Amino acid sequence: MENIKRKIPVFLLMLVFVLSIVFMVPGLLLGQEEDEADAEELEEPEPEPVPETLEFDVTYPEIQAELGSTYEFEFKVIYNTGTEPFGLEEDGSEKVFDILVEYPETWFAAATPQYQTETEITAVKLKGAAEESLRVVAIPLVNLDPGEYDISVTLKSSIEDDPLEGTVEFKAIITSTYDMQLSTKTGRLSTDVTSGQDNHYKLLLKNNGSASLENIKISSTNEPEGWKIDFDTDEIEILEAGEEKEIDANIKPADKTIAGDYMIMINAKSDNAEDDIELRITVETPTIWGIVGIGIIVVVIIAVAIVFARLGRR
Amino acid sequence: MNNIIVAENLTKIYDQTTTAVDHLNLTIEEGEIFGLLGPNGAGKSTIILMLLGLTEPTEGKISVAGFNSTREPLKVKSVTGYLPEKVGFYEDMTAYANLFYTAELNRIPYREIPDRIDKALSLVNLSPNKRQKVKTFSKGMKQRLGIADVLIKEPKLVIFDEPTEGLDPKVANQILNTILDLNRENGITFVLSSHQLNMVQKVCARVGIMSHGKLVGEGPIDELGRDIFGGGKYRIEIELARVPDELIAKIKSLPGIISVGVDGSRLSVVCNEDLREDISRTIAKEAIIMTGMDIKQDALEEIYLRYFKEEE
Amino acid sequence: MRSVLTVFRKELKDHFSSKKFLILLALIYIAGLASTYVALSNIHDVASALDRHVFLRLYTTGGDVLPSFISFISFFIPIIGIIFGFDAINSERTSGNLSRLMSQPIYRDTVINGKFLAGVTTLSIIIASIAFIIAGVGLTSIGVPPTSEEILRIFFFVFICVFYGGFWMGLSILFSVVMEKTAASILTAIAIWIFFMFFLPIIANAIANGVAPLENATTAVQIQNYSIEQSLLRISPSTLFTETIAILLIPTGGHFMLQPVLESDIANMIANPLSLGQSLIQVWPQLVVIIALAIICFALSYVVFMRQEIRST
Repeated sequence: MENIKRKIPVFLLMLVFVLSIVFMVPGLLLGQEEDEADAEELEEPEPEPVPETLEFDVTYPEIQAELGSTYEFEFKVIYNTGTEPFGLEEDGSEKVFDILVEYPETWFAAATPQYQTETEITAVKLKGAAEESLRVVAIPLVNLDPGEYDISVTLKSSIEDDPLEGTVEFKAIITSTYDMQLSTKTGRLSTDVTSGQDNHYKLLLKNNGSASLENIKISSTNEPEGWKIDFDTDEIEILEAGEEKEIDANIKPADKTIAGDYMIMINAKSDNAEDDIELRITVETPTIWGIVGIGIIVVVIIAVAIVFARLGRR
Repeated sequence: MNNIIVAENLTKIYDQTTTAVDHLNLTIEEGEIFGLLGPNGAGKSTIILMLLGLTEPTEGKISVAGFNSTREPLKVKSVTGYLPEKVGFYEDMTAYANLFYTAELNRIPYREIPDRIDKALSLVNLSPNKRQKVKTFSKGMKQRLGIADVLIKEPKLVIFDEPTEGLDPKVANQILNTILDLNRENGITFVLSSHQLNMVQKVCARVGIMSHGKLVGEGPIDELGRDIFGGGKYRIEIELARVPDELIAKIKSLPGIISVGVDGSRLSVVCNEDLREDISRTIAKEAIIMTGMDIKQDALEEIYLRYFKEEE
Repeated sequence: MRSVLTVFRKELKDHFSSKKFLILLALIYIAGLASTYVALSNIHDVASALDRHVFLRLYTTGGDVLPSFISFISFFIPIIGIIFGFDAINSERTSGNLSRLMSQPIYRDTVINGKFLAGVTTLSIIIASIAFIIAGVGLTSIGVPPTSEEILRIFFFVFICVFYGGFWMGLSILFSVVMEKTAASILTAIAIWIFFMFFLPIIANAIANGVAPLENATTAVQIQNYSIEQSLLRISPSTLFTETIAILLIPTGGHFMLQPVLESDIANMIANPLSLGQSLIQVWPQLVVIIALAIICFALSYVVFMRQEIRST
């Protein structure tokens, strides 16, 4: 204990020394920089006239979406009034700009205010140094192939001969969509069948997507035991976008299927998409058995009636 | 005359102890009306059962129209009509349907059946009720229908168990008259089994009296009376103020008188004819006051009572 | 023989014009059609198309509210039998028809034979007609025709029903011979029916539980309990009948009810239907007993009737 007490003044001295060195170094470095800046300012004593500029600020210049989507590009524009305003209004802080939206032929695009996307605007008044948020809404008009489409917006001063203009570029990317639709040719999801017999039923497979569908397999599930459901084509290698194909389903219920309604599922599955439909299959009594059944009832009733007539006393 | 019923040494012992019929010999001629009389339990029913072949005799034999009842009961039953004491019909069926059923059971050819039914019904005066259900019939009508029922088979012999039991006298007389007519016109032999005598005796030419399984008396009614009482068809009972011995002797000496009995002031005269006039004249000659006179034609009942008083 | 036919025809006419017959017929038809309705609404759930005996399901499928046709019929057959037999002889006797009939040129047994035959025929007509009506309704609704084997099974079923009904009829005819009053004979017959139907199961259960209590019982004791109960129940003709028709009409699994079968055993079995021959072999003892009982009951009443008539007036 005594030893340590004696050593403290030595420690303190060393600590102060080290710390003073550590704080001094950045101070020296900062001092040097300040010196350099001062030197530049000194090089240009007469400020040159600053031109007017349009500054764009875009957060999302590229939007990728499936076909059918609406692309909305937001951007901010800042009108920097320069030192030599041209045709400046009296207060020298406002200017009207025409908005020109360029887009591919198969598209429609228009500029709108930030919060009123229904309103199409073709001109905007900008205040100097202030930010204005605008938006471009682009809609592909037809089924387009997947790919990149350029949309540009140009703001051009509406004052004649004023060269001030600025352009901002956007990129709308249409991605491929996979959409397979399974339905029936008639549109009805129910059918009547006869047990033990082939019952043909037309299904319709459609590629509603923008990409072709590959390796489509068609299968049925949920059918009662003993049923056979076959398809004339149960595998399709490729179905181009927009293409449709008719598939013949052969539903063969088991011989001894009880008449009534049965639900079966038909499923089409490709590498990228699948769809299924539920079909209500009504198994009908074969006419012959219906007739035989009624015949039996009639015969029994007649027989009993005859017995009554012959044996009953009035 | 042919004998229609012949019973020889007929014996029936039930359970090896009770003798119902005891070595009975009986012959009934064709065309007779025979009265089988006796109290309940005398063995009348057992005889009828053996006669119809419904029960076998323990000993002896009985035959009807030459057929042995035990060995050929069906032949016997096809010539014999039997009317049980409590004759019953299917109440929900019409008279016609009931008779038709009987006819079928008797294997009468179908085309003959309607005629036979009509004939039988007209004999008992039930033709108008042919299509009525039996449940609407009165007791007398049912009894008549019973007769029609046995007539369907056109029997040679009809056995009638208690023909007048439970019927009022008028109806009973009708039944008896029908029996008489059938006997006379169709030559059907009747055996009337009864314990009621006054009715039966009117029609029976001959009776047999049963007691304890034995036939204790058999023959025409007047003969029977003579045999047992020394004759006498009538019994005249006279109530007198006094009964002097000379009077008894005088009455006894009258022609046709069989016997005279005295019971205090009461005279009982048995005779074969109605001698009330002669007797009253005799009494009047003796100047005796007669307080009452009655004639009874019930010698049979007398016989009957005499046999069965002890039992009842 | 001709006179038996005459009695037979007359008795048949009696049955067919009697109210009790009409009521019974209506009852059976309503019960039959109601159970068919239930069967049709449940048959989808119980029968798969692979089932080889879909058609028989019409008779054996019941619902939550209403039982199956075979349950109905095993309940009603004794009633029909009793009702057609209880007054056969004693009502003839009290009405005075019997002695009149006896004096006709017919053998004494003609009456009882004709009556029994007429009763059995009426019963056959009732059961066969409803069985065929159900077949017709079923065929029209499910559209699956019966196989020839199924048709044979249905015929056997009707045949057994007739014998079973014949047993109850024979029994009640016996009472009608022995007892003078029709009320006594019907009550006795119904008492016996109620005993077999309701009390015997309770008694059998109680005895089985007494001998081999089921609480914390080992499998062996459970089997013993079941066997005791089963053997006691087999005293009852209704048990025999139920077993017989169940095996006959439920070819797949119906015979499991004959002996105790462990669930583990069932799990290992393949649920394969028995052939008709196998089914018949399974029920042969029951079938023989039912037929024998019917014959014994009738024979007994026959003998009693033949001996009894001797003394009556």
